[in-house]
Amino acid sequence: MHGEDLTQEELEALLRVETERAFDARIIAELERVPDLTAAIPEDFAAKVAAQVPAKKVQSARTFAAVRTTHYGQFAMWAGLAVLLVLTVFASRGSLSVVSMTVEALLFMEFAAIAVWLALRSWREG
Amino acid sequence: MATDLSFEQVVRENQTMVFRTLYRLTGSREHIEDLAQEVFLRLYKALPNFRGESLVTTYLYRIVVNVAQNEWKRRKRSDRPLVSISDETSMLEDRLVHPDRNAEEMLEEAEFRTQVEEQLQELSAVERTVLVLYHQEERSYEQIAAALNMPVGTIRTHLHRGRKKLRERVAAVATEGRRAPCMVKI
Repeated sequence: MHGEDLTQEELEALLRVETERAFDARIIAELERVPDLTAAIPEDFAAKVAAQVPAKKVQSARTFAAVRTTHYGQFAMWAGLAVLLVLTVFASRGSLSVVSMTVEALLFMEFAAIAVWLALRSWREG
Repeated sequence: MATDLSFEQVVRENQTMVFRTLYRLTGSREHIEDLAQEVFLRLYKALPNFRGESLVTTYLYRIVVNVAQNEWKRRKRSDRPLVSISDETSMLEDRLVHPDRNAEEMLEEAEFRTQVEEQLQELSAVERTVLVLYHQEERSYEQIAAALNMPVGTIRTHLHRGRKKLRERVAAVATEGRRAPCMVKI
């Protein structure tokens, strides 16, 4: 295929396609251009940011200390444990049927599990 | 102490990327240092949960995008017009005529750059973000998808749509620019 074989319309279409392609390439090149921001970054930027981290930690620790810690849930657990103990003792005084033995065993297991959990928790909190 | 030193190192290694991405996403150097600080402080909070360099980078991109989005919202609320990248005095050195090149050519190139930057800011947040992460930051579809928490197919769609919109808008502005002098004459 020779250049002189192309009609005027074909040449125009070819030119249009090439122009569009060049336009796209320019936009892509512009998007791919990495802006140089070396001058915008302060020399001590990294040190400044790192220095802010402990300061923030102290601030949050102070905020935490300002909030009074309550142990309502823990008190409720101890009270529940006492009630469970009474129920276990009460169940052991009943008849020796399979049902009462099962209930007693269940209550005892529950009591033991809660007692161990609470003891561990109190020990960790010191 | 060792943690602080390594964090400082993480900041130093990634600060250039964070600054340039924030700059392209927000379209301005205004508050860029504060925004970059916010990015790294957010990263610090999340750092103990990360393993491996690539994951930190992906998360860092996610934070940068979130911080940039907050900045867009803040600007919208205060109804402040965006300061064009090309209008800032700090960019003047880029617009000065290079001794080896034709002045007219350089001016035309600077105008084209301005148009691309301005029209980029006119795109939707997600389209702009995908374009910047793909072209400027050379991230893969998968990395962008991970950073934006979106499916890869959606990223491809946004990229294609964003490029098309940007091309059409820049072309429209260029056409208007050519027509404007004729209108003055009439």
